[in-house]
Amino acid sequence: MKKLTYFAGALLVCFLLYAQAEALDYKTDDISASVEVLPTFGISLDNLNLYFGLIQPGSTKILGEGTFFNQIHCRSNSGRPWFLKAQVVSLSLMEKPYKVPAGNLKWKVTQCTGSAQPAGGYDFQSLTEEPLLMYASQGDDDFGKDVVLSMQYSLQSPSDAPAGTYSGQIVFTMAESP
Amino acid sequence: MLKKIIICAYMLALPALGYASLELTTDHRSLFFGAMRLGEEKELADFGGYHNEITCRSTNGAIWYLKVNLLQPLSSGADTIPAENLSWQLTWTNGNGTKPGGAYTYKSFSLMPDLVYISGPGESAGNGITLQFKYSLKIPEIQHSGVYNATIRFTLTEMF
Repeated sequence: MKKLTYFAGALLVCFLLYAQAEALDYKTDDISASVEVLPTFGISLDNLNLYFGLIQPGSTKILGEGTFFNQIHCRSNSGRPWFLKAQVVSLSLMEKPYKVPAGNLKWKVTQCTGSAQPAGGYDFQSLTEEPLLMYASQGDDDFGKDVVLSMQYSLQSPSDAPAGTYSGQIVFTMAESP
Repeated sequence: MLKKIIICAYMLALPALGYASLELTTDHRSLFFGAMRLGEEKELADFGGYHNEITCRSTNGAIWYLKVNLLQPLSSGADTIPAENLSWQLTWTNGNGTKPGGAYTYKSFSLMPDLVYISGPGESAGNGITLQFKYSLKIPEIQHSGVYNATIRFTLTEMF
């Protein structure tokens, strides 16, 4: 019985020493970190004026030949797909009522940094008075990738176009898919 | 004889359990970076060059070391900001120990514990060693919008 008590006592001491070693092994403390990544959704153009200068009736002029005329920057990090569309709003003679057909004004993507291909590839596409799909986002485009489309423009003057100054607008629309 | 040995062991072990200690305290100032834009970089160092401070204290006479790691990257659902985009820097300490993480330069967080500080001579006698930190975060250029959270763990360990 005496030996058993000594044995139990020895075990207890071993346990206490072990517990001490374990208790002193390490200590931890946690702190939290947080950030809100702001949503981004925007479009910008770096050259807003398509000035074709003087054009002979029946001839064609290209802006940005060789490289590009301007660039369209689109950026969204909402995680939702988006698209870019373009339309022309009446290219008209200022002095009297005469409209150049919308299809005579064309656009062409020469370079694209996005994850998808431009909707019309890398060929000239005729504009219309209805919004026409230029680009549909894909992959990283939905998470903040700066999608840059480098653009050329072409205008063919109708052979019967009256002399004068013509003015119009091209509207680019970036929108999320419903 | 055995009885005497056991009694002596009790007498040695029990006071040691009562007085030997290893302490790690933080001021629990969380890392709130607020709202940030894509590609933006922000530093948290609000209090005269530092953001929060950690105090380590040991009375065991053994060398101790402090480590830091991220338990998980900054996360928002399935989206994460890479751990290396969050950095820490030891800006000041009253200790004379070693700073293996490089003193006074930013070091990226990792999911594995990184050594911050190893105690120097005489720093295990109960005197508190204070370490001050500042932090930096860079939002990637491609990152889903949302609120991201993470937990940073400081670990104080003794060498036996």
